[in-house]
Amino acid sequence: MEFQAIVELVKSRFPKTEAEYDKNLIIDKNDFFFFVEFIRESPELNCTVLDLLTASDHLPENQIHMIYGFQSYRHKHYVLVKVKLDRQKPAIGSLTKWWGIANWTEREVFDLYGVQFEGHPELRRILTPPDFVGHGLRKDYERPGFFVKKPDFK
Amino acid sequence: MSEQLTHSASKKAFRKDIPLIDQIPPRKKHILRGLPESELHVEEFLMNIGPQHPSTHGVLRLVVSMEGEVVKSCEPDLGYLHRTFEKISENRTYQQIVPFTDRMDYLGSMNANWGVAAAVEKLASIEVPERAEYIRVIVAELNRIASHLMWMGAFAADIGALTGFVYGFREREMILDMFEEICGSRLTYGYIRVGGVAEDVTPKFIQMVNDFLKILPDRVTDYHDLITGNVIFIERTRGIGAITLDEAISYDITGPMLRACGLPWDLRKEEPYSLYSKFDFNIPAYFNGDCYDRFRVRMDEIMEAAKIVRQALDGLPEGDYKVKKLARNIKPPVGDVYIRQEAPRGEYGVYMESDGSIKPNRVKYRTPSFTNLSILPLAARGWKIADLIAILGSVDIVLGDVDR
Repeated sequence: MEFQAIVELVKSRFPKTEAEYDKNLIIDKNDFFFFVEFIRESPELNCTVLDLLTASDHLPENQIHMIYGFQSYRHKHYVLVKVKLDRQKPAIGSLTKWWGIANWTEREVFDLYGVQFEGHPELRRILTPPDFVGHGLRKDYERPGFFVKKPDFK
Repeated sequence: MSEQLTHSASKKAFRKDIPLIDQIPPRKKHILRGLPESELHVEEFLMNIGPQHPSTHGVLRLVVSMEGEVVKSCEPDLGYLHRTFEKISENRTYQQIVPFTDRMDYLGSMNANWGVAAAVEKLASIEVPERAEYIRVIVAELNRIASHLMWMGAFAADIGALTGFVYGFREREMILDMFEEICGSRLTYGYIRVGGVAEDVTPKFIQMVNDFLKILPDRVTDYHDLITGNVIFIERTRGIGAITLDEAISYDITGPMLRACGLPWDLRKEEPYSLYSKFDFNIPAYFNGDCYDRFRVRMDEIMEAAKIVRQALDGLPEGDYKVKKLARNIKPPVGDVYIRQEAPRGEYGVYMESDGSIKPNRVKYRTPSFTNLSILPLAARGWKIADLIAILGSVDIVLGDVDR
């Protein structure tokens, strides 16, 4: 399915949808769960594969963008979807009830960006150690000093 | 115990009145527990495999909960090789990113380089000369052959056939010699760069590839005789760790593991990038989704990749091998790009976001090893501990690719 047709189909169901760079869809956060159900179940789209799940930090706009890639093996099209979240308290629904892979990829995004996935069975760090402080891929993450600061004995 | 020994030793064993073996009363069971058999209960126990263990192919830790010898659950513990390549890439210029990708998938470095180079070229609208694309196809397919041969050896060693390891390295060595000829390095190439390749191919390289393609079919036939038809190998792999196509789709399995489940999905055929629409090759696929089918898919892919190398070598045009004038610091327009390519292990994707400066705002490597490994807890459940090693080997993970 061509991109323009996909945009028109999705816009007819979810009017808040926008297109970005002529290849991405931007979905409103409140519509997201219904949108995933629609893109997965509707016979025209039938995107049965969650191919990409990641995020990107936009410090000037104070946003974190969730990026999802949906692949349809039947119709051979690929839809890249973005959802804009508030940077202070990023939270979005978990896709683990539909896809098994979402378990690990959402843990990775939680680990590196601190996005809370509501409904995830075990949201814990996956790449960094469990006692790691902070979220490494955020733009304002500061690496702790290599040497431990000596106590002041005055 | 010592009394019994001395007592039996005092008897003369050759005398006729010593009882025969079948007349010896059966040994008491469960002496160590000291419990009658009715009160025995089976209890799960945890076993730790790795992170330093030869059969984990790197630094992977598995926490296996077992009941006897049967795996009840298996929890991979990742992150021992996490080197924050995505963060590093955000702080480098676009050309500087390329060498880091060697260190992620160090058995398919050419393919890893290619993904980033293609993403930057699409983002900045850089036209690549045709000769460079041909060279890219040749080295990427050669690297696929090397990766699969290496995997074949390592998988045979996992099963217990240590000799296979040496056989796999024999032809891989020839390919590494070719790469050494064109880029001077044997493991981390950095050969495919933004705007083309680093150096032009030499006549000696072409001669080496021709020699290699001549001997490869015989060698692969040897491997089929040695391994594919081997009864012990078949017993250890057929039906082991089988996953269905639905499970594979749910866990986003790609590459040879997906094709072993019955779906002949290959990005080189389905969404042809670069020059792959010009070449004639087949996509091998099998239906059982077990370790044996994964092995057969990869062995068939070696021959298909050799076919592509042959065609690309015959059609190699004259011309430039890289873009003549390329800015020192590329500044792509604001936008994003997602490139997907078929790496030896599966679908390799690079998501890149530009904010108009000389550094990318976000680089995401969607690596096949990470997603393919995520099905291990499901695939290993209910199999024995020796099968767990076979299943883990058949996934074909590279831990640098998993942890990034």
